[in-house]
Amino acid sequence: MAGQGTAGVTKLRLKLGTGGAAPQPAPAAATAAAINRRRQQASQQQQGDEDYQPGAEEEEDEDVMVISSDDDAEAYATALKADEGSSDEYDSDDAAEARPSKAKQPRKPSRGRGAAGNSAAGSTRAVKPAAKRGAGRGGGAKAGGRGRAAATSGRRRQHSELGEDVDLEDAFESDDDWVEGEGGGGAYRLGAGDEQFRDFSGLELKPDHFNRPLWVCPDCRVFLETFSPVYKQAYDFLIAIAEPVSRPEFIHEYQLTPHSLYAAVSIGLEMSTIVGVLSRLSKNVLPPEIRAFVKGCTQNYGKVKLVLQQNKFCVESAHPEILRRLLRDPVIADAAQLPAKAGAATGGGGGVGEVAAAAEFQVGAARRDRAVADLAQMEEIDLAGEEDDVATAATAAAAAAAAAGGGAAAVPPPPRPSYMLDAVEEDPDRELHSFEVDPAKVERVKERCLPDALNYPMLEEYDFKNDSLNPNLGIDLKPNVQHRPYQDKSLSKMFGNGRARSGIIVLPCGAGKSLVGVSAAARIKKSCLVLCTNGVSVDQWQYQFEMWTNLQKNQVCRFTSQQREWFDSPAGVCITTYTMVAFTGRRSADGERIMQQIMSREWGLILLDEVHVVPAAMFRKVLGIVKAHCKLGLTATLVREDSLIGDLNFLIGPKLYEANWLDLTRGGHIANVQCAEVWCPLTREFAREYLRPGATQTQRQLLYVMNPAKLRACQFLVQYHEARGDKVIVFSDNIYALRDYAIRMRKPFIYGATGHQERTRILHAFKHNPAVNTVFLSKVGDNSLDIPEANVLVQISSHAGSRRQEAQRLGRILRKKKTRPGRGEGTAGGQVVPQGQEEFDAFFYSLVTLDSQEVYFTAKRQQFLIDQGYSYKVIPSLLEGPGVEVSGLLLPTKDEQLDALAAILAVSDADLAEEGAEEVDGLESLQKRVATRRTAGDMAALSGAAGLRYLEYSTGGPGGRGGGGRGGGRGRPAGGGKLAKMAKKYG
Amino acid sequence: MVKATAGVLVTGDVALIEFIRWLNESQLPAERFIINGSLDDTHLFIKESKVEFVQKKVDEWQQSLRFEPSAREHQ
Repeated sequence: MAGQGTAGVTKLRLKLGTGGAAPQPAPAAATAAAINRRRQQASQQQQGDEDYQPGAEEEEDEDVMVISSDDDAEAYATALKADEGSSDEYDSDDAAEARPSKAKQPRKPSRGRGAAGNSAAGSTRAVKPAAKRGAGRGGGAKAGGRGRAAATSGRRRQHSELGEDVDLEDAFESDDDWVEGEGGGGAYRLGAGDEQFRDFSGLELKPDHFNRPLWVCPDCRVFLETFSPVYKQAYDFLIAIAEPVSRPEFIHEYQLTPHSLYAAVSIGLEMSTIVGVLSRLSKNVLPPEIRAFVKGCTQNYGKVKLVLQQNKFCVESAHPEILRRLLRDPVIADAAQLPAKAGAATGGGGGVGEVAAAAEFQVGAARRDRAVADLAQMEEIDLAGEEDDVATAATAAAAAAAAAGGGAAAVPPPPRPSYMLDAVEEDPDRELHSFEVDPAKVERVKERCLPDALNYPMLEEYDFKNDSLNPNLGIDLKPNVQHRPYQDKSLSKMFGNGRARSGIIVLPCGAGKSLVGVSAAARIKKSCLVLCTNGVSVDQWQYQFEMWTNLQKNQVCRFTSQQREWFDSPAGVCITTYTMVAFTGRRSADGERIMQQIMSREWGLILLDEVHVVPAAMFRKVLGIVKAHCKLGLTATLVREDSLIGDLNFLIGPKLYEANWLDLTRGGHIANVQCAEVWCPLTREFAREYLRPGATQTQRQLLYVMNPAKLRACQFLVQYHEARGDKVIVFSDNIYALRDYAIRMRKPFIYGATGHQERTRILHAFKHNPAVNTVFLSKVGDNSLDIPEANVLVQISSHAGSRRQEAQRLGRILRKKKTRPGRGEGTAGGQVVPQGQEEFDAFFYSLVTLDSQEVYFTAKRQQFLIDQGYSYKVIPSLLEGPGVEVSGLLLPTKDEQLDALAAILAVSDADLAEEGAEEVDGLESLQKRVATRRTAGDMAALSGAAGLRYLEYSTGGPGGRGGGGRGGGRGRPAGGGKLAKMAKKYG
Repeated sequence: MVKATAGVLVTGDVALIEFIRWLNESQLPAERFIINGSLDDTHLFIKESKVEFVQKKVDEWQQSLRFEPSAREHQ
């Protein structure tokens, strides 16, 4: 009991007896992610309850407590003798770096002393277990590399900024659990349940490690210190080669995966560069495993490119022997159009301006010079290494004899090329070989090259400048358009070599993804197809194109169920939805005609908005229908609870760039959001019904969503923020609750069945009418809804444990706000908006009913954002703080609460299922058709067949599609099918 | 006549007490352990012999509500 880390821990106390078992060993995990998570848990706990229990606390901090004593451990002292001087020197240097973060600390005073300390300590914890281990084990002079280094790091951080934390750690110094564990076991073991623990104490540390920002572990994890002077360069490099796992404030965790290395190769990095830079940035000598892993992953990737140029498909490679090997394969040999053994070999590239084609034969490959793709990239990254070396030399002259610097001579860094660079430089030292492929057999060639066959996965590139077959589009960005640095970076990854690469760009919501998309279209200057998730975002994209570019209205057309437009010019931009394109049923004549247009033409670029939303099967279909030379996916959250996005790598392309949320927040590009978790206890009656064995899953969900405490909390927050002049969005996945809340509180609401016009009207009122400050949204509002005005978000129910939904919802308020005068002053309840803090732009409240499944789901949902470095503040008793005015809130008396309960229980499962189905169908189409005309179409509408275009909102599938009978006055909760699925999934 | 019974006083929040009540009711009549369940919303008086059982069940219950992100996937 006391061994539980979570909220509910301390509830049961027995007057008789000991109050729980002895604390179990900490499930200490040495990953930054784990740290982060526990930091959150700890903060939950600490500020959570008055009946604070040391037992539970100890568990959280066990791995921390040793540090202060560890500081002086002799192992550490002797081992670091050599480093001592320079380490101190670094400290002073570091002070400047540390200051900003130090300044941030007071941001969360409301968490209480412990929590504030914790958040600062969070980053150091990543290394502490190792530090401890280093001291405990190494004993002598040969302290493990990592352990030693970690100790330094821990120490340094403690010196520079953990002042407040010391008390906390001292307080637990007397915990003897550790001593026992250590002495008894011989081999030091962290918590028994910790499978992630790995011993890296054998790694060798470089003498000047303190100047280098990375820890590279043999298991392919990489840790990055964000307070390092070369953090920016190191980040740019790491994000190109590794998958970010967790990016809290001070230490990031990355993981090298085959996919990430594939992506690295595809943007032009080579194995030698990857290993070289990694080893240059690494504090420890690069483990041989890493070298082998990188080599294994990259030796085949990226060697072969499929380039479309001059409207011919060419297989291109810098390595003729690989082409030869490919040509030995019968399938490829069949598809290859080898030039006749005469001078015609230049056919592939002869006319290309930038190509100096030399007609030499190498197994039929036309040999020619061409600018090697990724000069820009490589130099940029070399530069990162270079600067590191310089920094090394400067700050640690004594230890400057870099052990493994890969000491490249300091070349003056070339001016950084912009992605707009048109002239592709030629590289006389490198040659590319290529042969042409029969267009009809391109697919088969691609397949043959996949890992399960020849294992030379092809990169696809589009040489758009030399594509004379497809008409150009006169599209240019307006001169006043300015890109933010990260937008530039992502575009430069895409157009690194003057050709267009397919891939995915990951930017937080509100960070200007559309501008990246529009810029890409403006760069390629060919027809462009934009696919988005719903009609509202179609309109938004059209607006974006008109805002950022010089395109005329008639060159940007929309293709939705309402608007079926087509451009007259030979090239243009078409914006539509995934469902419109993938729709298989009968279309109207107009729709059919436009669809033919879409299918018959070759698109220069296909922009896939919110790629995470659409399952791979849909993509496959869409990409099968539409012929596009280059695919660019945009998203903020590349996570899904199902594994449906695993294929995106191959369907669209590798991830080209991913921005760090915290960096963008610091840079002022996105709003600074305060995330909060508001605890709402169940009342006795609700708890009883919730626990009742006969209660169905649906009813339970309804009970915890409709919990009176939650309603009151929601109402309080809405009132409070409205009074501050904020714009509030309330999210509820549960339609019944959505309606009930909205009607009780007299606010407008939008859900799946709300018509397009009404939606637009409500949203317009929300944006412009000062009297409408709150809107209730169901999950239709999760994605792509651009409401820049909103700055407060209250979440009352959600789709189980979906991390993506949480992040997407946060995205609704992430857009940078215009600062409004005279706000942020009012404080109610002391807890809601703590005074004297760094001002937050926006607030994200998750209301959680305690002791229900929601606790579990909430914790799961938060993982993604926590990994992005967000921390959740826990508000355990919103309404009980001093000065909180609760008199005006709904459901004040027990009787009223019981009425509400009765109403909920009266909603039968059948009703719910039916209403859920109706939600899928789309009431809109039903109402409209019935009202206007009576044709055979009615049956389709009534039976649900006409609702296909609303499938994008459905998660339950067509299972319970009833007759669309509109249930009684009460609401329409989400479908029973979904819940059943959810229940199955989460037990 | 005064009747005295030895037992254990359990303090907990509303939902937890409700859970223990439910636990009690799900037992066979002979196995039930609440001596006095009508104290108030946050207290129960139960048999001492069942304390361990109750603790175990409460632990399990809370564990079921606790998210354990150890099974995180690295893509």
